[in-house]
Amino acid sequence: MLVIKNIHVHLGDFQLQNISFSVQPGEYRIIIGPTGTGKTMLLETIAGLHRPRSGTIVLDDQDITRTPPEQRDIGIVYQEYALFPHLTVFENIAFGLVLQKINKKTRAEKVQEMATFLGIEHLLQRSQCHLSGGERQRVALARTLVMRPSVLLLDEPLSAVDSRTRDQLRAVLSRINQQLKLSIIHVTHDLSEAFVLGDTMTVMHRGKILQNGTPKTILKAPLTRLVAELLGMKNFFQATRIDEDFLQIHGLGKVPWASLEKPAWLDHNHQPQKAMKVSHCGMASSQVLRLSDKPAWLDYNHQPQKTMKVSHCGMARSQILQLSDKRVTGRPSHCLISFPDWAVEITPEQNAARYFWQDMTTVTALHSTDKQVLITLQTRENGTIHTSFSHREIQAFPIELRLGISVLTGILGKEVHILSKEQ
Amino acid sequence: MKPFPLFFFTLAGIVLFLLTMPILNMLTASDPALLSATMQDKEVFHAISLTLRTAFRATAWGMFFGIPLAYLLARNTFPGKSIVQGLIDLPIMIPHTAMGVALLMVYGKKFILGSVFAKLGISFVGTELGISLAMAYVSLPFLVNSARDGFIAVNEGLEKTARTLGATPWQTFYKISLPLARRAIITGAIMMWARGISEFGAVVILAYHPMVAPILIWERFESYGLKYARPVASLLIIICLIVFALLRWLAQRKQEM
Repeated sequence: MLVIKNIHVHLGDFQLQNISFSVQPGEYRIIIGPTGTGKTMLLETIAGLHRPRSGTIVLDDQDITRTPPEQRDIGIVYQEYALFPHLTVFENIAFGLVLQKINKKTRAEKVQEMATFLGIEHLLQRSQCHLSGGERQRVALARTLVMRPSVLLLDEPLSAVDSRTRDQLRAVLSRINQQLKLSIIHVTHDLSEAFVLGDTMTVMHRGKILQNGTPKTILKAPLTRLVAELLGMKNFFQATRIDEDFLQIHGLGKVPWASLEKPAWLDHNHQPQKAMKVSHCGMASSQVLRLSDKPAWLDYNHQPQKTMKVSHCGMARSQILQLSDKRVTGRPSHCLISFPDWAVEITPEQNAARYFWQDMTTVTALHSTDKQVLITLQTRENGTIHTSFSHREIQAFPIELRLGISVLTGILGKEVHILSKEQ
Repeated sequence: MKPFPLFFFTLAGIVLFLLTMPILNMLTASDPALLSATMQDKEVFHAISLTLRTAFRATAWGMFFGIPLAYLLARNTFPGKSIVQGLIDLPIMIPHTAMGVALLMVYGKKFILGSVFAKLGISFVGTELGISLAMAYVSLPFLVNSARDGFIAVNEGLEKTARTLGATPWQTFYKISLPLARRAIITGAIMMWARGISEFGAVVILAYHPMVAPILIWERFESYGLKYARPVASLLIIICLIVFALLRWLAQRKQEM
């Protein structure tokens, strides 16, 4: 298991701050964030190519924070399939084995085995000038995997290849993860990769971790507006709880509270609880707090509690505090509602059951890109909804979309999220 | 022809003509009998072989000390880097006779480094070593700059990947950086050797004797006149052209293999 604890790295003007997470054996972790966020720098720090100013990196109970990269047992594969141009495919894959002074026969067997596993055995004797992008990336993977590392680091491995190759390589990556039982940390800015491949996900922004969790839990309950935006949410609305049953969303109108999917942190009631489970993501083992040494913030509930499981979620203490504040608040009187543009449908018929919200809106802006049409809709309460449709979907519309026309618009209920942290 | 290519081709043609004319003229105007006599002249033969040898030694020194410097310059940024860069380029700018005087002031027997070396039994004034030293000083920038550009062109990701595959920094340099920058280093070394062979100003001050070819040409010109300087110069040019063509061809061929 790889445990990264409170890593700080400085490189020029840029810094990574307080990075903590762990990767279990066989876990596929996605690190997602916009370009220039420090994801590559984080990978290179894990690989030993940058030295952290503080914090520790522990691999299988061994502190490797100060171990040079060649002794770390951690492999890295870069985006631009950095093959050694002066070596053949075989020599590339055998590079690490040669350094280990493994005899020629074993070396050839290992290279052959890995090449067969990745489907590139027919390329072995080639120099690599005629390889395709997908083939190059497979060779780069083979070169690292033949060393049997404990952890494989992937730096945007799929962004330099065409979409068909990308699908094939995705399959290769999950095969590596499952058949070799290899822990993988995969850096990307592509959401679909995260959801297809990731067991767990870390959202990063400007050198900091915003949220740790599984892709599903993070998508369902983004901690902050920024996380929601990074996950493709385009629509944000302030909302006020007006009574037990209704929520007033500014710009949309009144919706039944029951129609909203509640994030996990809201799902508590005021009944005494025996045990309370908080999603556990990041630390080596979840901490069990006894009632006797409960922290101050736990005092909200005067009912007797037996045990309470809390994990750090790789976050600073303050964040747990805030998370638990939410528990105290329970049913927020004010909150922020968010949903992605694909949750918006323009529809010819009334179908209240399907939609969280449905009403007439006015088309106020149409912007056509080469892939899709971006549409801005204005609600009757002066709210703005952003959505987009592919050109093909637009063709299939029963009406022609023009500026100023009114359309019946629905928002899919299960894609709407209550964003906890916004005040 | 359109005006644009016409203009460019004309100017390029003029430059090429002006470049080749003195050399061609010298080669064709030499009296064949005198040229063959010069080829058998022991003094000329010694001077040319001395020149090639000392320049080669200077280049070897340059590679040993210059390549690590080039690598550091390619991979690091540090305060004062442009000053270091300027220092390296300095010999290209200042008159080489001035460089020779400066060297004499350091490597002369009575001066700082000269006295240290003198204790070790090494003298630079009027010796073969002195010739190589003068050549190394003035021709080093050609190697360092070329090697530095070569290292810059090597993707750092390759070096990093090599490290994670188990290569120590030494192995990474030897197996990845050096072979990938080899072409630039060889080009730089050939340039440095060539510049060493043609060096006159610094050598003439630090080590007039033993006499290298450029000094011999100058001396023959001074003592006997144009007619006797010309065959020596022609011979040197012919030998240099053959050697460099051969080296370029070899470097090219190895790269393609």
